[in-house]
Amino acid sequence: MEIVELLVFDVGDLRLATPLRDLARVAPRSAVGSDVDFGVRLGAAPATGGCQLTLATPPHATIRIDAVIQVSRVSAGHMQPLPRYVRERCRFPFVWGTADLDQESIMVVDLPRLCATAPATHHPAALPARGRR
Amino acid sequence: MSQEPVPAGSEVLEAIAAQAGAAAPVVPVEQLQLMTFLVAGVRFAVRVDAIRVVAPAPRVAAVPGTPSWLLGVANHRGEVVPVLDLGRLLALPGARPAASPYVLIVLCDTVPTGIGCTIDALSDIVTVAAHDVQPPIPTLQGPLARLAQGTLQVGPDLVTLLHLGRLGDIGAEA
Repeated sequence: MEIVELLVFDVGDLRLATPLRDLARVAPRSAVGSDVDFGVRLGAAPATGGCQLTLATPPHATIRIDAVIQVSRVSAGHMQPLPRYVRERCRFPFVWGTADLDQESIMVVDLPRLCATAPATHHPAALPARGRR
Repeated sequence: MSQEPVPAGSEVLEAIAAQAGAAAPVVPVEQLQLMTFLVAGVRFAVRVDAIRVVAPAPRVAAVPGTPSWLLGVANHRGEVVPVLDLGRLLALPGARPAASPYVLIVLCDTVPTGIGCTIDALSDIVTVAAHDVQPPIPTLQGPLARLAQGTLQVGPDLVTLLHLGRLGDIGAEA
């Protein structure tokens, strides 16, 4: 069974996870800001923490989050997509499903999909150079 | 001159019994086995054969971007099951968030794992005749109107019988 490395992080009061292979960099928040504020994308307050994720795939968008919690290895069998019933009622298409970590189910998000639909929130001047509108 | 034989007394009684049976055949009455439960102080019923399991409320992972009545998903025996707050869905005035100690997982044609509904307390299991179930109260509105299958008197309470299998059709437009 395939093993997936997940980065677990917080945005507001939500604990989320994403496959580490989707990321090129996890770093302190940049002075120039981020392309996407995850807190705003969730319809909540802007992320106030000091971390920034950079996607591995072009255009290498950056995503602002609150805090990195841990990196966990999980069997793919312990990850499951959202049931169709929930997916059809969820307005965020980037919410992929769940992973069972330490007796707890954590939401797994698809960050490339988030950035494919996310409007710029912090650094719009940089976006045209990266091929965005 | 020959005489017809006089039937014995027991034969007469058997003949009368046979005629009575033919005149009034026994019609089986359809029985329904129902489980009643409380949500926000209101007593509801659901058919026992529509229940997959009743269990202590599992840990629920909230899913962002879903309606407030959809609490999230829970892992039940290796399956990811949607869990919803029945009190909030039905807009019951006394509904308290995340306070329910039990989850009732009901069968649903469109959701293979079933759907979990939080409930406050199990009440009892009763068997009633199908004809004791009256049509739902016509003034019901919203999701309750779509889920109500009928009403019946159980002890002192007028109980709404819910068809929770219809949950699969509710809220998809949200």
